[in-house]
Amino acid sequence: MEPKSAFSTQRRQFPPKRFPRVFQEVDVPLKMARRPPVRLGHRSDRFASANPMWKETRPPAYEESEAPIPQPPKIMSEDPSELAERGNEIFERVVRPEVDAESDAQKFVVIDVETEDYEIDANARAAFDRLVERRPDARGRTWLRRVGSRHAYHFGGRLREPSTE
Amino acid sequence: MMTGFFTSDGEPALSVHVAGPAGNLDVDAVIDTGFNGELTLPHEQIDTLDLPEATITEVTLADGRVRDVPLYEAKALLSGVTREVFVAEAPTMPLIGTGLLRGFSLHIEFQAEGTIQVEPLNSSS
Repeated sequence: MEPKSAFSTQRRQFPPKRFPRVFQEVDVPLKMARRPPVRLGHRSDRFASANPMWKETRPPAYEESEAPIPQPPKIMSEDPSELAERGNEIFERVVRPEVDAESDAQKFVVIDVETEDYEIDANARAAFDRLVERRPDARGRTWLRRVGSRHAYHFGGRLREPSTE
Repeated sequence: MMTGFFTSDGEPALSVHVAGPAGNLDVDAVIDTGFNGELTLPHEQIDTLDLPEATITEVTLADGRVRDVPLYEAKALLSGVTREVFVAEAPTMPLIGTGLLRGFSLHIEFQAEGTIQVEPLNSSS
């Protein structure tokens, strides 16, 4: 449904019935022609803002709608579950064919989910540091896992059944 | 060589020196051989040190649940050896995992007044 505007809420039959029939067939946006441009300071603006319901639904003035919407800084702004999904998908597609899943099972993999670049090392910090040195902008969009498990660490002992990948 | 101590709950613990951009702290951390990471700290201490967030990973808990956990960069000094480590955020008392103990020998006497000794191995890897 089209959002209400100051004008659509007051829709009248146009042209009025008393007008001859020929007026109805003229292919001109009469509605538009009759509508004064909405701009701040115009009397229609004052009229609209006097009615709280219209004020809410009225489209913003041109100056407002063109203003850029401020974005939060993009540091760790990725949703963790989305990072996990993308990181693990890249691992299966890009990394797994390149590694020996048996002998490297305990090694760590750090994946930049944007460029699909990655580093593998037995030391998680070493892998991360190498990746960030090569791609400083990867910070904030990396995913860490092990070659043999999507979980890098466990608390309170390893699970008896390895989780299904 | 450094010596540790037992907590009031009877857990072996060590004092680790942790450094970040905003300073450093001596942290009493329980030795947790069921944790295969390096170190955990509660949120307040991570904030105090202003550790930079590095990456995110999944961890499994003792009951099988899986959590997304942010990892922070820090330097940890244990028994005269400084290492660049990942610190995982956990609301518990700080924990030392097997990752941080790699390359050290650990000797624990589980008895009243028992001693705890940590020293770096010669062929540390």
